[in-house]
Amino acid sequence: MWSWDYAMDVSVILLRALPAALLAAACGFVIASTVGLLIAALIRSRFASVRRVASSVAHFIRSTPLLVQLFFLYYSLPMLVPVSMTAFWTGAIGLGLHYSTYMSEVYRSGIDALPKGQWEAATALNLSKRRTWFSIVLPQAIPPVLPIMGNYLIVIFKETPTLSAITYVELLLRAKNEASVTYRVFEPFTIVGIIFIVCSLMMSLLVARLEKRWGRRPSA
Amino acid sequence: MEYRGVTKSFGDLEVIKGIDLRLHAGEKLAFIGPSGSGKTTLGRMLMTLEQPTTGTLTIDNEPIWQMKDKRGNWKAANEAHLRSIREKVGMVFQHFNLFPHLTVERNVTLALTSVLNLSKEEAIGRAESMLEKVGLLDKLRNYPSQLSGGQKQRVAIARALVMRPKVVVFDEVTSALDPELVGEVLAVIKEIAKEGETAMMLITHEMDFAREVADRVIFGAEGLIVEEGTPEDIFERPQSERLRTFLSRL
Ligand SMILES: Nc1ncnc2c1ncn2[C@@H]1O[C@H](COP(=O)(O)OP(=O)(O)OP(=O)(O)O)[C@@H](O)[C@H]1O
Ligand SMILES: [Mg+2]
Repeated sequence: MWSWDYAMDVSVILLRALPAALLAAACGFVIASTVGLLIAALIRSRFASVRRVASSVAHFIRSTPLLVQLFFLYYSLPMLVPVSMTAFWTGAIGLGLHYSTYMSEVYRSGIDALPKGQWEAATALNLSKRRTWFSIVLPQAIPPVLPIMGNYLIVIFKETPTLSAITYVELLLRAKNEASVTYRVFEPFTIVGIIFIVCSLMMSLLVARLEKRWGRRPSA
Repeated sequence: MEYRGVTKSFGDLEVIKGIDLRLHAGEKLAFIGPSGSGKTTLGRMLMTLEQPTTGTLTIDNEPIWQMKDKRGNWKAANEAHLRSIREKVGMVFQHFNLFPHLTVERNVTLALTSVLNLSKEEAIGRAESMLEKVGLLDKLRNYPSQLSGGQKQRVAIARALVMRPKVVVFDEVTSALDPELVGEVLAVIKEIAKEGETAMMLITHEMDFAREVADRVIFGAEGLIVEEGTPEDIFERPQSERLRTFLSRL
């Protein structure tokens, strides 16, 4: 049933699809980090209406499945507005938006951990809101949560097969295409699994190193 | 600076029950009273960290929490108005609240460059002469975690005063310190008080210090001013029973 020769051949083919998966994950991660930060800041806005809108949007995105969101972005949205995005960008944006709502919680935990006195000192020094965020709050709130953010990079990477549903050729879809040509289903999917295990493992090693470097910082 | 009929409630709890108080330019005012009497809250209102529930607080005859719109009607102060008020007020906190991720120098220069828009050289010059005054010129490159409590508080004092506010609130700035470190911080404040210009609102439990530095002492209890007068009045000739009891318990 298992052919080593075929396994080798298909490994090479599948590994060529790995960069596509990594790229989608990386872009998704960057979008999630940026939008997540925006949501975290809006949830702390002075204006109650802004807070409410931000947290309901976040809640809404988090409680609908990623797959549904991807279908909506890829198939439904172009019927409403005259934009059409490639499968790659739809996937990256879909992943990014979906995980931005989780990422905002990560930022929030970092921001909430900051003593109230830091905000008050910033006010007492008459720093602008922007300056307070960029010079006082974020430099202290982000380093401790970098490892958690790193874990979300792994989660997002593991979610890339979902993009196969909108025709983005990543590892899984490539394996499926192979299988449909050769009628061999055992090797391609097994190898996809192995590639994911190895990549996730390497990423978590990287995150562990991040944690060592940034996890503990001097306090006041 | 003036409090007029100021009250403050947290939920159902009325912490400040009606305060009328004036502080003149350069005046050193000591605020004493039992724990929980609302001293901190009073100082925080001046720093715009708390909003009075009723009454008005003005600086240079300008209300802190109200402003005039284009047609001259009063409306709630916006962020820009509050920032213009904060230019005139500084605060030193009980727990220092230094920025731990920044060096001593950056702690002191941050607002100079980003709020007062001074050039880096000017800011550093001003920070250095301020740090010299508090005796910490050699700690410029250190991080707050490398300083003792007394040194941290002296940096915090430098950080507030380098902005040259008209009035500075000192909220029990020595009560988080080990007893042997209290002296160095009080000495620095006394030194700065002698120079004059800056008005000070000294919330303190250090009676000797209050007596020595203050032009006027206010004794407050349960959200009201019970007695006020010169340090001699308050400490030598207390009028009210409350104050006599308070002083005798020290
Ligand atoms: N943010 C807040 N929410 C609810 N209650 C508060 C808040 N801040 C202060 N209080 C209450 O207000 C009262 C007065 O507090 P405040 O800190 O002004 O007193 P204080 O005179 O500074 O006391 P101390 O000498 O202990 O510092 C206290 O009973 C306190 O519990
Ligand atoms: Mg207090």
